[in-house]
Amino acid sequence: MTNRRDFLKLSALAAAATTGMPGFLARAAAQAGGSRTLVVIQLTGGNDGLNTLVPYSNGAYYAARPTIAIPKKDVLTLTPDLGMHPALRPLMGLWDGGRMAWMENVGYPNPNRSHFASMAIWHTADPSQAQSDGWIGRLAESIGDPFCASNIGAATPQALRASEFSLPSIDTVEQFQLKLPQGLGGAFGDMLDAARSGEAAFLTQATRQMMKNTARVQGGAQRYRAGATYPDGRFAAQLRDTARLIAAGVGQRVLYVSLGGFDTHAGQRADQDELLGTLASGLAAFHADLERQGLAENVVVMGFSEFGRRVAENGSAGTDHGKGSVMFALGSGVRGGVHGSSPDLEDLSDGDIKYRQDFRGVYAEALSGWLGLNAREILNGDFSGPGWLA
Amino acid sequence: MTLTPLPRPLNAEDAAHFLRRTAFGATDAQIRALVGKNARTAAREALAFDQTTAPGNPFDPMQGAGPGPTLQLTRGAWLFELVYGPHPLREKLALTWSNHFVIGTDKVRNVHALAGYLGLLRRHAATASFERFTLEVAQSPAMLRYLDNDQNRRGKPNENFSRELLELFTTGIGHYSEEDVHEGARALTGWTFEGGRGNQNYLEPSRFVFNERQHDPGRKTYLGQSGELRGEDIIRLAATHPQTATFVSRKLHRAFLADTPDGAAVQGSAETWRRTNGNVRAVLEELLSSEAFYASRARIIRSPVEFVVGALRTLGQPTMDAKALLNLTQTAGRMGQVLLQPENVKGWDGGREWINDTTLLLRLQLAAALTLGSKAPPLTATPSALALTGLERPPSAAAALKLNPQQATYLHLISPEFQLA
Amino acid sequence: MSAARRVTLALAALLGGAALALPKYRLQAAPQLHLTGGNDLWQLDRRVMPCTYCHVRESGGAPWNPFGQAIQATFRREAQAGRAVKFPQALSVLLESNGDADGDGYPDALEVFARTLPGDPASRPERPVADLQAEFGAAGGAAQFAPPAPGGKGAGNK
Repeated sequence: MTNRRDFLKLSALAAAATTGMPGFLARAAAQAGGSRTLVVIQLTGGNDGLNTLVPYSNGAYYAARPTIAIPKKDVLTLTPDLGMHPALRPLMGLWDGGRMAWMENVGYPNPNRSHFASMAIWHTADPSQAQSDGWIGRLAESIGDPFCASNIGAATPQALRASEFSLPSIDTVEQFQLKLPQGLGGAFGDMLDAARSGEAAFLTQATRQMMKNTARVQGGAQRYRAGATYPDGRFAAQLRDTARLIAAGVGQRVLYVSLGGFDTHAGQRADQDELLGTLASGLAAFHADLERQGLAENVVVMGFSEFGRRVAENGSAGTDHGKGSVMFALGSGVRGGVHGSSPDLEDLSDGDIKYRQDFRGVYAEALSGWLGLNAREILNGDFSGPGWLA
Repeated sequence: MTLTPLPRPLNAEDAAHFLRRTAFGATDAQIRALVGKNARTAAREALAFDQTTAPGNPFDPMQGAGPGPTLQLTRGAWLFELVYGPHPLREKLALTWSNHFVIGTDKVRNVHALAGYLGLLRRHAATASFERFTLEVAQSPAMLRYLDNDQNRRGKPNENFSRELLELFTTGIGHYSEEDVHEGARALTGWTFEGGRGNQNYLEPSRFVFNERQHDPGRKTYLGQSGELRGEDIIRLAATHPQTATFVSRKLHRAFLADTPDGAAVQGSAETWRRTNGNVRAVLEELLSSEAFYASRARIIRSPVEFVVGALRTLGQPTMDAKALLNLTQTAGRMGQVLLQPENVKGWDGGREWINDTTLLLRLQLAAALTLGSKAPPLTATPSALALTGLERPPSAAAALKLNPQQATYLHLISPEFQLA
Repeated sequence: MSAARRVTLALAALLGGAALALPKYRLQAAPQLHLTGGNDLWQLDRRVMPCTYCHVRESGGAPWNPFGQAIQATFRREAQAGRAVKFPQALSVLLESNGDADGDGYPDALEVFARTLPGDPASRPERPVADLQAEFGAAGGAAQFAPPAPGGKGAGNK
């Protein structure tokens, strides 16, 4: 803890010495030391893994879900036993091209069924719930650059909290600039130009630096032309902003996007079908866009949810909070296929599947295999993954 | 030596400075009312607050539709008090103490625990006894939960609270040993709370209890004292330790004088602290009427909450609907300061740490929203440059000359001078 | 023109709220049942629609009261009939069915209209059923609790 804090302080000082001030993206570009980006997709609310990656040859699945199971005829066949929810059809091209990976049966020891607690565990990568900083926050500290990862959205999730601060959120790229109200440009310049000292001089300098950095982002972003048609909605818009930031070349290593509403206690089919459609159409457009920009080689998408859901449906044609679930990954850096073995639906723990793959092993591969970082240091331990990277 | 008092009566810039530091900012009328006063009188009057609160607070945490809504209502209610309350210095101190005796809503989500904690900070805002204050905090369900002393049992000590008591709340690092932490934890065994545990029970009252059976009654040595020490002894020894005077005085200087306090001035306050046995009111009265206080201008970068509250108070406390105030608590959060939720038990570092590209941009955008936007609160009287910047002729004055009142207010709000106190 | 728009954007971001973790079904139901009127903070305030509207306990969660159970049964029936409905549709289907979950003599829709609890027999309107029924009918009947139009507020993801 103390070491990380000190390290961070030092790196912040070093950065301030070179740029004059803790500027955001200019430093990120200088520090990143790699052109690869990890895009993390959070499915908030607890996505039902069994209706996402469907065990369509398993009688126990259909027995447990008389009204909400995905009928075999609707499943998008991936293997003799597993297939995708039909709403994920936009991703079939990626699957067929060997650019989509499913990680089966992912969880952690002593599963917690509270949204709040379980999400915190995924964010901090600490099932004991002792850590308060997030794994991406620690990643940023490990790179030594507090601004090498950003959340796309309003509020920064705990995953992006470092021990001393939260990494920034960019609500929209469009908003990430100072647009002076009409007629105030001159006055603003005059105001900044006045002679100052001490903290006032610091703030003047910080303001100039911010304008320079945001202008740089906007300059890159304005050259961006979407290479694909994105669907409507906030999630797709955030993915488009993600592509725009990557295309702008401002050097962020991790970008974080969330899609909420997966807490399907009642009427699951209607809600989850729509959400998975939103997820798939957004990601398909995102990937097509990156291909068109010539950036697809540099980007991997990794998706998770805080938990899956109970194997048996409840009395409201929905499902209640469960334990393990599936993760997914997309991109040309991914080893396509289903990784890990499927859960035994006849050997349950309190109505839930028994996880076999610790999610930290999946994180570890993203960290060391994709980003070239020290996963052990960031995750506080060694975790083996399913080998989902090419 | 203690601090030298300001020898002159307050001029306009002195008055503006005092109110920017102790009331988040003020209108021209409020500044004028202070001009010509003796500095001691001004400090004494500002400190003479009672526990009355702003009428018509639309946020009632007790009505929260779940733990999440309750937290939002708690933050909204506090922001309302900060902006509209009759005693801004009490609220400034409560905010300061919430960054000293830190708890966080990541762990503390019970509505009564939070209300009790906030009530404590207000009641002891300018406490006559820091020891009493520390004791009540230590026995508050919020702190017992946040630093795990409710898990601290005989034979199974949990040292979390015992450690932070010394490291962050009283003496500061370097004035105690690991053995003190360990022995302190033993003495604090059995201090716990009942009621209100778990998310489901967010509305259930909780209260401190001493569980004798879980208490370790044996002999201990703590900060050089030996005996069958109990929790109360530990609090007393830590809170009245000579180094506590320096450590906490420095935090008060950090809140009221400068982001980087002057060591000699801190020692002056520490002396007064020791002489008065930790009478924070006495220390503050001297501090807020000292020459050092009035000589220290533009040396504190306003926190996000201070920025928001400062803007609204300087604009004359315009009426904002509840939804807009609630959103302002979230905007302050995006600028790095969620009320009752510092990043960790150390609290917000503040100062330059508040500033990065994102947070600075948000400050500038918020200033536009409050002055020029279609939802901007109506401006009844345009604040003067003095009210906005603390200076009669600020560097932004010339640039503002050609602008209309809203534009001029906006320009001042985004100037470095407004962002400083 | 563009200056005005810019400022509006800033306002939307800074004085407009971010979606936070709040009970999802309650957020959908309260406006659909016209219970939010006059309360700026309805999303947070349980007086607008307490958890005991559908749950037994004040803090929600299992178990459910008769009205909550009736909603669950509606979901079940619809799914068995091969219809995938979302919460607003299920609520509307239930209220159209003219049931009286708590058996207090006042149909659920009427209790919603009169702002009493449809899952609690101790909470019921004071006026005679017929009176209320007439007023309810004149006000549009259960159709007033129809789900919001698709694509409208609350549709899609947040």
